[in-house]
Amino acid sequence: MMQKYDAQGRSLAARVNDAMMSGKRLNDYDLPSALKAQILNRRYSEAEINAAYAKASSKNRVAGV
Amino acid sequence: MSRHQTFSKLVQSQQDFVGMVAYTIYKNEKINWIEAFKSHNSREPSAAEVEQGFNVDSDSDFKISHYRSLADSLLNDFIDSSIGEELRIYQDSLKEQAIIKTIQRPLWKSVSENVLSNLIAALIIAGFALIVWLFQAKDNPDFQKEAARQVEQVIKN
Repeated sequence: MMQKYDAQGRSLAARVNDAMMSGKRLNDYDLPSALKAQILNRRYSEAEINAAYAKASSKNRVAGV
Repeated sequence: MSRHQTFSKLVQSQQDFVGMVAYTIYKNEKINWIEAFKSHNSREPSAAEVEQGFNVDSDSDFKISHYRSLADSLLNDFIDSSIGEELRIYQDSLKEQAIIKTIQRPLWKSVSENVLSNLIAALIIAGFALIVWLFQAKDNPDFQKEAARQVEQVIKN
């Protein structure tokens, strides 16, 4: 399981938000170019995003978050 | 009361995350419009002015589609960065594990590796010393005499 919080207790979403606010994008990460291209080529539809959000929010409701 | 229905058109349900992001983009545009109006007219716009100047087409199908498209693009950027960040964390964790594995190797493995490397070093030095000795001995007259005597003795016997 991936580490969800860093040493400062920030969640992945908060870290990504900070990165985006500072103008950092996927291309700025030190990852193989082919991998970055693969990620960039995969576009998520509105339906996929909303389905993921619905799943996450129902999970949080069950957990009482 | 305002007659525009931007929120209900943009956010179609409680699970419509794209619509919620689209609504923040709409709100941001509205704030920018009000700020521009204030700097141009040196006063706040009235509700009617906002309605006529900004909201006039904000809930049109074209605008709704535009806001949703911007939200979709923004969310995809966020997802891409999230994947990048997760992979970076994974990379770091793999590096840490490799370092820990190297540090915490079994004692017998370290000892056997040291013994083997010392043995190889000793063999290299011995081989080098032998070559040097043979090189010096071949030009030594005493050595040549002794070698000839030994050969003769072997032949005689």
